[in-house]
Amino acid sequence: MTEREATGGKPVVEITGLTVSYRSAGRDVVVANEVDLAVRANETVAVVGESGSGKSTVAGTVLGHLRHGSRLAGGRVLVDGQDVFALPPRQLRALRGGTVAMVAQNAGQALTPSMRVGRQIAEALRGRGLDRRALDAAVVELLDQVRLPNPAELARRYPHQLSGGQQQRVAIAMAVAARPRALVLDEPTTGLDVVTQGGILRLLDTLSSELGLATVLVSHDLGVVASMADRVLVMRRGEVVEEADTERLFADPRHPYTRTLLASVPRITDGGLVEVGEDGGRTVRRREPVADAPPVVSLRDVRIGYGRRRRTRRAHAEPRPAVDGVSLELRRGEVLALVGESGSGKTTLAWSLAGLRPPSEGEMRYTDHGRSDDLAQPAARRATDLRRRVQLVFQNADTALNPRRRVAEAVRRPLRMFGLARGRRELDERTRGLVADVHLDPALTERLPAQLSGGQRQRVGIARALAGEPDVVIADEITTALDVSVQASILALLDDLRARRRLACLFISHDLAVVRGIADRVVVLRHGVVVEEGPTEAVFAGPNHPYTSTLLAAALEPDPTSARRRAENRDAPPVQWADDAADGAVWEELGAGHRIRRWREVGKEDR
Amino acid sequence: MLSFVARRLFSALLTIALSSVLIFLALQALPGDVASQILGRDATPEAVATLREQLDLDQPAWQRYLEWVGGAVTGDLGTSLASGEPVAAEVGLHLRNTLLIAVVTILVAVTLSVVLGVLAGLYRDRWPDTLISGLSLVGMSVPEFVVATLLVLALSITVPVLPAVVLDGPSASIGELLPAVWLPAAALGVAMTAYIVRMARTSVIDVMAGEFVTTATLKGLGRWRVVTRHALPSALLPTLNVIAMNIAWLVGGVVVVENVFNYPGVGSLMLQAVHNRDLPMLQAIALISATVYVLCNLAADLGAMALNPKLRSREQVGLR
Amino acid sequence: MSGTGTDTTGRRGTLTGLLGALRGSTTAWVGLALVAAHLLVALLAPLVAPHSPVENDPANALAGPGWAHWAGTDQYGRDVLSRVLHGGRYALMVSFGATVLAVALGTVIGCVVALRGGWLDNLVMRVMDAVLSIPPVLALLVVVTVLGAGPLVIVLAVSLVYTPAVTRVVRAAAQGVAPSDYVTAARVRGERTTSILFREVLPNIVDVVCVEFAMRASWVILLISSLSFLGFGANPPTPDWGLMVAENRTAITVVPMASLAPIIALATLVIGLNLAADGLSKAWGVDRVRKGRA
Repeated sequence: MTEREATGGKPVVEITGLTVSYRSAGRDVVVANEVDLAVRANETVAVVGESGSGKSTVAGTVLGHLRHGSRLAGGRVLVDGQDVFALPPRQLRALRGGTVAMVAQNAGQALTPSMRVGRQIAEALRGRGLDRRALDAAVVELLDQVRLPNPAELARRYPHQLSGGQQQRVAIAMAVAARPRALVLDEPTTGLDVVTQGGILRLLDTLSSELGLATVLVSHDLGVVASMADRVLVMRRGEVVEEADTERLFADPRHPYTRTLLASVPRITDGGLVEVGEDGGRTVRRREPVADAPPVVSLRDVRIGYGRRRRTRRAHAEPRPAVDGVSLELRRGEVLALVGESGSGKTTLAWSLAGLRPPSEGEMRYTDHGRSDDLAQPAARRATDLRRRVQLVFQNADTALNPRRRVAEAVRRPLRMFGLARGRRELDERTRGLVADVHLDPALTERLPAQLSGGQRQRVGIARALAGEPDVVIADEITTALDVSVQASILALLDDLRARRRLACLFISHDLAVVRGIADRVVVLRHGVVVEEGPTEAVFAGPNHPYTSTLLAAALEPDPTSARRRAENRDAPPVQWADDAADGAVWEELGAGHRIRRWREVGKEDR
Repeated sequence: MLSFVARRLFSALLTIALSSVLIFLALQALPGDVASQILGRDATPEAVATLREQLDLDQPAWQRYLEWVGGAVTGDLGTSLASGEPVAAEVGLHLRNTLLIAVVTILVAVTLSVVLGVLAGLYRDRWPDTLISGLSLVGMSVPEFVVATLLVLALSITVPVLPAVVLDGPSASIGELLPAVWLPAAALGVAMTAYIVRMARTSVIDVMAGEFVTTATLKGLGRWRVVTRHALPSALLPTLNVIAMNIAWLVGGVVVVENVFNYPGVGSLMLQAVHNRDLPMLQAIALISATVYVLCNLAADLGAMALNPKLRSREQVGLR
Repeated sequence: MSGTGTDTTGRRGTLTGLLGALRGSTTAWVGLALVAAHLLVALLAPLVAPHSPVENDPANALAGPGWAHWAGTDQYGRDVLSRVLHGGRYALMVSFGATVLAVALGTVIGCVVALRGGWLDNLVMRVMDAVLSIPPVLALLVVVTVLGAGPLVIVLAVSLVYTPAVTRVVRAAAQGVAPSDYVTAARVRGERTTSILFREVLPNIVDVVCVEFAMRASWVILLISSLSFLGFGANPPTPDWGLMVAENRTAITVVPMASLAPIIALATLVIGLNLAADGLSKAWGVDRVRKGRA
């Protein structure tokens, strides 16, 4: 990000004493309480908080927008000197059309599905009084400005024909179309892959300095905030707990909540799992080296297709398999991280191991003390004992628990099913034990999942998986849906359990900082192919496969200085590479089990 | 896209074929000897024999089915047992009369209901919505024969402006039938409107809560533009299927309504056929109704495809 | 199922949860109250009706409302009020039977088909589509032609006619639940299909099934009344609302109450069912209108 001076003078956006509430069950619930916020031209102010902090509500008010059922209970919002909630409808429309614009969180849903994207952008240009041809030209120019290739053709597409990153770029083009003075970004990169996220952030940064925008950035991601914002507001349960310049806030957080929040963010430089103290202090848990145990699960040349192959006359229509020739080993007591972007095949592999989708080729085996079972069998055909030994924990704990069954029921079911406890007494006892193991309040066992928080639900999910006394746990993005502070405690729990029960854990994640904290070994997956694997420290120390390097470079640290340093050399183009693996010479061995799939650098012409 | 159309067409044909089997089976499932069942207990053996001859009952069922379907495809639906006339001609004539009601009903009811439904959706939980939703609830709660009876009471007896019963025969000209069309059409339209209104309302409410509508609003667009350009295309798509379903349902509704007004359409013909146990006629009408149903749904699906860019470009996207 | 214990907790949770959500729904309660009132009247009709519903009294034919006959008499001098009070019994009994059958069949078929998928799903839904393609009134008339209009025939025929529609709705609901992670978890655990059906899927679509029941009942009553009106349901002199309208329609100018009273009775019952269905679906968040009409 380029260093720029916030021009002095009157703020473009000025929120004073903003209080928003909605009515629920006859009571007023306050979502934002006495919030003050001022943003000048050429300045980016971030509003940071966990879910339910009211940050998105504040963002909406800048455009005079309140969610259905919410109302303004106090304070006012001035944009360019105009009180947005006091404006008559016509002027409010003019304000939204010209002075302030918003980029919503999920561009896939924020674009009208039945309208070509070019026309949606053109709508935002109505006020300019352009004729048809000039309008078309302006749309193409805007699409070009957001660095979309082939803008003239792209303008004629419908939203669903674009990728997530492209959709977000279109949404940005639409927002800046009317040359607004203020821009509101509501979680603009959530749901995008890290590499795509990097591109979008760079674009936003360039645009806001080019256009001299006053930007309000709403995010839960402290890495994004550190790299983008000049000033930060930390919100918690509708209140601003701390406000400071970005550098100061990250270097010296003063409010205890800010301190714990910052401390909870895993960093790519941490050598192990972080434990956050009451006062927000961080202690890094030293990683115990895993004894060289024999593998419990071994995969050899596993290929998993996209369902049954469709008969088609066009050969190129044959889809590439989701997982394409993966070999790996999982040892007792270790956490093996499977890293990759969406579409890399990591979840497919997890589901296949769990017996939900048999591989089309290759071998998947479970071995333990002389026994050896075929994991290529679907769950229904596996022996009860094998099903018990391999357990899956889901990404989204909200949907992983049957909403109509109480916590105790969910945990008790596998106990009974696998015949691990008989009789009411024993069952209850074992259930209580499991609930205690995952540090869940025993009083919660009679609740339904809807009555629990996200972190509590994930604990139930883990307890349910542990009920079968498994040897292997497959954890599929289990902390992705959680707030950072909750994420830290779930990771610590997983680490404890792994040590205590000597579990072999396949930890699937897209977040390299999380992986660095918890994993003993890392496997990097790209388009269903393993491009790099090795002990965590070795992988993070490098040298790396260029794809791993891209991922590492794109990971954002909650540290403005490192983010800025990175920004300075990020205009260096990434290495252009091509796969160079041949039969018999697939790997470049770097020692200690660290190896990289062979690749070669190529010029642009070669590709 | 073409392959989607082809697949949809094939499945429509398959459904019609299956329906024809079901209809045939249902009507051939008379316990005992079909001919003596039709003629009743007092029939003379000679009459039964003649009828058996006429219905080809000596042939196996599958052969009769094939002959029936083969005939149906070429426009020969058999001979009516009651009148001895070809079924196709008789059904055709009545079908024309029924279509007269149907067209009026569809035009008025569909327009009215979409407008009312969208209004109710936009004014959610305010008085226009309460009124429209309340009326449609009542509309779908009273059967057609009740609506028809009340309409007669109001517009033929209390204020005699429209005829209560049709005195013309089936072969009356369209001009002669026209005055008699309005009351049956109104009776049919009430329930139909009620259902479409509800669907359109829900659909509009769903879409208006969508993120893309919020985005359009926050772009500073006027409400009219947001509704017509952004919300309605997505909101009316699911309504299309309900409209198709309701049009198909008209075929059933006309039986009752035509009976009330003595209107010479397919519905009345069907009732006569039931009274006369005229199997070929019943088979023909059931088959035609099934075809209408399938065609309406096919039209709705193809229409939805034409309107929905996602469906239209499915193949294209699949390749990428 | 390897585990057979008494686990009532989960089921109790479903029920209390569903009932709890109903507390604030006036619509649902008004609807259910209307239906309950009709059931009560139908049950107690023989006790509370002032006259016999079938007894002719030519001397008093076509009388207007008065002390002896609160709602007047029809062309045979039968007491309209008594006939209306009795008039729901046939329709309610037949409709209830048919609806229970149709919903039960449709739920089982819909769930199984949704969980199994594949060719079974294809085949079953194809046949269901074919049945759906024949309008209910028509299908019933065909059946009545062939098998006569006995109550049992009507119950079976109506339930067969409406089973495909229920199947579609339940199948869609079950398909919404089937890919959930908790169903996946059960599959990974190796639960059998029946166990997944009863433990994981059904408890989560009970609401859909209940709403479907109320809605389907209203359609079934409309259909059965229409049949009676056409002369293929209840046989004269049985008191039945549809039949009463058919009988007294021609005399509507002379004794309007004879037609209007059964109309009001029928309409309040169906409105009650529709209100109940609307209220339940709103309270439980079930998308009712989307079901369209089949």
